[in-house]
Amino acid sequence: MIALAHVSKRYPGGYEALKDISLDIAAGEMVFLTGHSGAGKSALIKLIAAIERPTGGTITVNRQNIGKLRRGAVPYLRRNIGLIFQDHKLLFDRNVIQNVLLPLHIAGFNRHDAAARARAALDKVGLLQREKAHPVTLSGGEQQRLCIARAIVSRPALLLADEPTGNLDSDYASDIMVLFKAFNQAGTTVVISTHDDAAILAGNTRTIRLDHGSLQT
Amino acid sequence: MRAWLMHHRQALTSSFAQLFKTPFASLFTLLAIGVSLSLPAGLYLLLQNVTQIAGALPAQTEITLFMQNDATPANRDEIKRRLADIADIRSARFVSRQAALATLSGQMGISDLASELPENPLPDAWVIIPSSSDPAALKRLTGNLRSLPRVASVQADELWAKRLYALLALGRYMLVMLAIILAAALVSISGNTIRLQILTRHAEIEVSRLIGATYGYIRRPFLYFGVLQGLLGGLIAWLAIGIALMLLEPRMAVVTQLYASRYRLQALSVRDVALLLVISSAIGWLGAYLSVGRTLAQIEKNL
Repeated sequence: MIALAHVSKRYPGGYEALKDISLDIAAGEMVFLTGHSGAGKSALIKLIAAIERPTGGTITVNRQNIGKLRRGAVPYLRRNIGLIFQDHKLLFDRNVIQNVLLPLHIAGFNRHDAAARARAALDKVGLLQREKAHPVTLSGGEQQRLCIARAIVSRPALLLADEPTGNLDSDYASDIMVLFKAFNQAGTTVVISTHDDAAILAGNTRTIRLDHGSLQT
Repeated sequence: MRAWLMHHRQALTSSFAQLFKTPFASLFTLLAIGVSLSLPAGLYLLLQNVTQIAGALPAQTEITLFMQNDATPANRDEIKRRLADIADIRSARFVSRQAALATLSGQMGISDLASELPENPLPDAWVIIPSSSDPAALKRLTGNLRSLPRVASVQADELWAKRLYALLALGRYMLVMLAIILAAALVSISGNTIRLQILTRHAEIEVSRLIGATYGYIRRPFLYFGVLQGLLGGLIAWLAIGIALMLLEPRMAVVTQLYASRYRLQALSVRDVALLLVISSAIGWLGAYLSVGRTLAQIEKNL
């Protein structure tokens, strides 16, 4: 699903976020990405989602070379990736279900199918009762679950979560982790960046450790 | 294809929604666009009317044809026949040398000028009214008249026509200049409202890009908004001109009555209105296009 070969990312100004990273993540795998803050977790997530491009090496996602991807092809790559953000990036000018409908509108689903899918996604994260609520009225954990619903509604093959539990207390955080495990069992590839050791120690999930932009084995 | 149509419909409805979300701000922007558009459109209409009036003014261009002093009544009859054959002449009136002298003495207040002079110095003359006041046609006509036999000289009173046409040409030139300046201003008005809109919808655009919206999808509602804004501005300009005409009509009637003319002010033709709306929409679109390109590039950079 994801293959990196000697990938490096240097930002203008010389800061090197990733140095010579090579790794493979198979389809259907679940992987934790850990390391101190500034280790390059976010940079790696951004490269996989084609938000940024590598300055060296090749990165292949879903058999597409990110470095050589046409600008016009990026949206179609992203439709197959569910992105989950630490700050949720919810839209506060619309209600819960409208937030979940956004990716489906973008992908051009008709109204009827879109509503059914959105409800199914909300049901999976346990927010079906709140579909008419406004995101402001949701708790932090609920907001994160809404963000997850929006990420999975178009049934992507890959879920990328950047510090999904970073702002949550441990009860909420373990709820979220249970959700991710469920999606993974349904066949979705899941990559979660986190600095929450408890989440990792809880299971025998594969863990990729980054330290100052380098892979730590 | 269906998804594409649906996206366009969504973009259009979202543009309308945006317009009504801030009704006062939208109204002011539309008024600014409408008023700016009504200036060149109104000037265009004014020129159109002046051109019409110039073509319709009666008996303004006169050509005076003076015959040689030794011309006989037979020559005069021949000229009369020849004049009847020239197509560009609306009417020709003969003024005999005696009549001319009588008129002159009347004008000068000398009751018996004829008896004071040893002989009548004035020639026989024809006062000719051409059917068109177009300078080129006048020039052709005077040339024709000069070639007639026994003609001493032809005086065309064409200077005023030249002046009028020069003024009209100047007016058209100024219209084009004004139109270009205002078009530039309108592009920036349209672009600026759209830039503000993009900034207020910054979060939505950012999220949409992250979850796979194409550039076209993001841009579409703003382009629609630009076109809609331009179109409504054009309609306001049309309305403003219509109202101005309605207010001017009775005043104009007073003037035309004094000139014993039946001239009625011309309104914008269907073609003119269509052109106005197309141009205003195009200006709105252009402003949106330029603004969206720049502003989205900025958002993209900070993703």
